[in-house]
Amino acid sequence: MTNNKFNLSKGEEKKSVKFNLSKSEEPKDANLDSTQKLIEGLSTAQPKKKNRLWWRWLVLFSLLIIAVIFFLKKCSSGGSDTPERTSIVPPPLTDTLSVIGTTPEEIPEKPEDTLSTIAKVEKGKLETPLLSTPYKQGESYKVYQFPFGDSNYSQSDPELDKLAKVLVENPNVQIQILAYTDNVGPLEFNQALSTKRAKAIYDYLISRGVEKNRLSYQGKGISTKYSNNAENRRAEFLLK
Amino acid sequence: MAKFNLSKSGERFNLSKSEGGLVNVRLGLGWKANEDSRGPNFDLDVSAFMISSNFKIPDDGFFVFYGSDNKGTDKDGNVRPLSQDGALYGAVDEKEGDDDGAEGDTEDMILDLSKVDKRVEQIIIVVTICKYPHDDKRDRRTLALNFGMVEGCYLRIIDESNGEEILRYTLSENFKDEDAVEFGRLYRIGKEWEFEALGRGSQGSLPLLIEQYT
Repeated sequence: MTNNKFNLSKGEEKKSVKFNLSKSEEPKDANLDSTQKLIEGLSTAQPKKKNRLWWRWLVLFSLLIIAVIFFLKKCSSGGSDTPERTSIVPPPLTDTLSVIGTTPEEIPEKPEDTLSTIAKVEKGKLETPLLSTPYKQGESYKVYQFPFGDSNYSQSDPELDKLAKVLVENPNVQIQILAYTDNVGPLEFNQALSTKRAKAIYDYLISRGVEKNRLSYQGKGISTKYSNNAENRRAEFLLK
Repeated sequence: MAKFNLSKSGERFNLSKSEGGLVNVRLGLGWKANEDSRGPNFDLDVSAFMISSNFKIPDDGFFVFYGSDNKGTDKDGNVRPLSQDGALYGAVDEKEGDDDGAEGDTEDMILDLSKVDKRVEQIIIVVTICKYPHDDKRDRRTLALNFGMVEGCYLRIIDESNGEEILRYTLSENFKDEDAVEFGRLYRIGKEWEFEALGRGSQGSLPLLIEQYT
């Protein structure tokens, strides 16, 4: 981040910038001692690193020697069957079942179970609400809160990540993204800002692997739903 | 004792609907920096960005800070930075961090809402840590300072006509590495003014906020 507009130095030295933020009168560096100490600290840290590396190589080399010796011994002893060899051969079917204790039929297949618990899908359309998530069709859920004036997705949000995961795991689900602003500023500005916000969430979900044709977005402009303005600056989604 | 206390970011208060309607207000800010006596000077500065509907200052004279070229004398005889429209007297720069404002405030600003330029939609009140190379002693150790070392941050609004404290916002956010905090903002809703608590921290001190609002 560079600031070429304003001089932030508090010194008397004037530069060709708009705002002088410098407070010092003379361009002196008042803290050479601590800088020197920092440099010394860095230089003393380096030998320790080298020592650690040296030990690692020694251990690896030792292991390699042991592995070579073991291999050579194996080769010289011949190819006769040993107890260890028989463990590689798959045991009879009955032994396997007694160890595991179940039959394949007892373990439900994951894809079918997921469908039965999440939704009934017929002819490619989602007929019932997602039961493995808290989302219901027709209801709106807040997924992101924007800082004021901001239209970028700038920090991770657990609700948005959860939504992305659900959408990726449920390829038939479609949503509409709605974004809002607070009540500060002109209507036109806030309408444009809310559209940018909605698109930011749309772009983010696409980047997480959700297909474009399952998403739509719309800026809804000013919201006064919440008395707390921070909560009004939000993005929500609706399950279609 | 304030009439209204805010403690959460996003909470709002309508200044115009206050009893008698507020026109001349004092914005008092306070904090306590946990300074190390052997450490660098902990110098915090109050500044204001008077921004228009595009979230930028309409002109350079609407960024009010310790180095503003435009200055004025308040009714108490203090020379302060002054906004281009003459509405906002900035804070007297106190480098040592001692109380300088009224009634224990560390720094304060004086605002006449009736004089605010029509282009200005919002006034963002910020507090930043002055760091190398901008500090007066050019001490590199200031680079390590942050708001995690500062406690008891508040902003209060006082009715200048009678000295009554109307509103106090006590920041409840925990800061760690931030060196700039947007305490709050005043904004227009039609002909009225409201205050909204922000408590938003960021890293980059005053230069970052200049990039954002200019």
